[in-house]
Amino acid sequence: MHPSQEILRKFVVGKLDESAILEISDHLVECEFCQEYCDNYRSYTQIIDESAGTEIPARAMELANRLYAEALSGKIIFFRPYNPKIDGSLSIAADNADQFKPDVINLGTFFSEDPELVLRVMRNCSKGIDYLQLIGKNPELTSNVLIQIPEMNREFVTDHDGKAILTGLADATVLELKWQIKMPDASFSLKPLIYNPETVEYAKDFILETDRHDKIKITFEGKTEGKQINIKILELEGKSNFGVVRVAVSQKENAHVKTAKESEAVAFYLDRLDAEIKIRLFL
Amino acid sequence: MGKTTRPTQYRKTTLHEGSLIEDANNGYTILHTKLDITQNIRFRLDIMTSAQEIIILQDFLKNPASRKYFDPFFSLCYRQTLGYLRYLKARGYQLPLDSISPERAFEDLAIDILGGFLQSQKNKPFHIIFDYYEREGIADFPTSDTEQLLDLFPILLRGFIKKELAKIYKQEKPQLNHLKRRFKDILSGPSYGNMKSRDKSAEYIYLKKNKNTLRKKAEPLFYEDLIQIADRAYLNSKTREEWCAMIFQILDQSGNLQNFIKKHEILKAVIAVNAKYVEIDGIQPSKPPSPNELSIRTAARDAIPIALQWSRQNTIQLFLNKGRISPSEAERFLQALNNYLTDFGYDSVTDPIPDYYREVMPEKDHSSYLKKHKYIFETVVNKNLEYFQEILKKNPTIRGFGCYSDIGTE
Repeated sequence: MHPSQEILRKFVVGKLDESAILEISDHLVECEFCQEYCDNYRSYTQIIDESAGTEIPARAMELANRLYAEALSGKIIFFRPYNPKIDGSLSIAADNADQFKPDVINLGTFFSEDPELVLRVMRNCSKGIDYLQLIGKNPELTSNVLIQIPEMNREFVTDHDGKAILTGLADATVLELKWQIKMPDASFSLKPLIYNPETVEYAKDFILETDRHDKIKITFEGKTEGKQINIKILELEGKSNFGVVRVAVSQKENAHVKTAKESEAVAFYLDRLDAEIKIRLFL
Repeated sequence: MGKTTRPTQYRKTTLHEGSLIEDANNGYTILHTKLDITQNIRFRLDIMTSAQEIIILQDFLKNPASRKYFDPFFSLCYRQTLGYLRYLKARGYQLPLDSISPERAFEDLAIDILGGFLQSQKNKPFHIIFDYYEREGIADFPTSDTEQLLDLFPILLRGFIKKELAKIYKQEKPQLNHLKRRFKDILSGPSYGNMKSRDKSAEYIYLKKNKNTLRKKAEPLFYEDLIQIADRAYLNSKTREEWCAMIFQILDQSGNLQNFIKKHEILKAVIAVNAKYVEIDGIQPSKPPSPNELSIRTAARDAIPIALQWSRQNTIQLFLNKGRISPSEAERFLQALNNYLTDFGYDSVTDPIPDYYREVMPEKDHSSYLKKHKYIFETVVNKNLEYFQEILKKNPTIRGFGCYSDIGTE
């Protein structure tokens, strides 16, 4: 009889006691099969060890980002309010401290521990706008995601930089609201190299499909006032009866969301002709 | 460096050339290979972080949605994939590495493979990993045996890599030809004889000492039984010569069975068992075939002679009439066809078609396959396979099973 592969592996990596080592060594002298197994395993572990110090290239990390975002697909990430104890002593313009008023102020901060994300509600006083800023390590989790306030039935899509313009929220309610992110159920993207809106033929269409059998039909149309993209959802996870879906289309700093029904196309105007178009579907 | 020594008698070994040194002072024998192993252990322990790997793996399995645990796990997968690809390359695999920089090509391949390995389904993140552990009976990660988790993981990853590579680049294991040759050499040694079936489509091996006592009227040995015998014989032998001899010895003792074996089948069996035990990613013992699988295999075995006869009278005869092949080539083609159908009938898995050609044709003809015989041989194989499948589809005992379930109504 031969020692088990587990014992042979332990022998190779030195996890056996001395008496067992001697026993296996004796066996190896006579047994070409176990000898060969040990040689193979030794060579394998050596190569694996040599690979242990390998740096992970940037494109592998991009894959990690995508895979992680895919794993969260369709999930809801909840935020909690963050209440730091600020002593109020921070002063930037020392000479005119009492007159200093920052241009951008923070109305509220929220966080999620897992995944680690921070959501800030900000006000730009000079521009007179409120906006959301989503901050996180993985751009897949901050760009072009759907931020929801369920109790107000409001939704905002972040742009490439994780920002979304807010409208109609009173200062006082910001901290009391329940903020959450809905991760897309399906994602598509069109890079400018693949699609050149300047040269595209009128009403040319094509179909995009994910590995999970989400399928959409894209039509580009030329308009005098700009370019238009029409999106028709054909299937979600291979099913054509999916009900109502929110479709978000974003390009750099612009993002729009619309509701689409089965067999209906939704149209979006493209703000830029040279930027990647990201399409996200939310069930 | 610590030497591993043991009190033993001096004896010759074939372990490695010059592997034994007699230490005149204390009469101990020092095995060089052991010293090498010690070096390896030390090297591995310096870098090896199996305790860290366990933590990384367990943390990820407990919290797959946490980025904090996903990143180290991804790095672990990436490095192990890269390492395994390098190992395969070192073992002679032709990997699809078509980049100018070999290092970059390894990285690209690892990235491609991990894209599939770590994919998620809706509401089932990283389903390949979790489904696998579930099949292995592990679902409660906080309380499961950590060693077992770590032992199973490389088996899953290596298996996935192999499957992906087979999809990208179908090729025979480079060691397989070498191994086949070794077994062929043993079986053509002085202890063995060979004979052909009456229709010359199969070659059989027997123990020479049994030449006059061949049990031709006994039950034929089926491949399922042969593989069991080969497995049993393996466990009781230490060299390949001993192993082959043991297979025939067991067979000899089974008076109700024929004491000769189809050459193609014994080669297939020993290679399968060899891979199971000697390769680090050998396939673990499979489950016994289901009644349905057994029915299909039996029907396939019965259909082989009919399909061969059809080929002899049709496709092969056609090429013979046209003078495209000689009568001796026709016989060899039939033998190759028999081997092909044997493999197909067993589990629908075959080697690439040219391998069957090379197995039966003299070596001098191998290089002319593309130019002279490719079209003819592939036509013969494909036409025969179609006919063979038709026979099975019409067989009422296996209707509705496996790949024969799409049979039309009569």
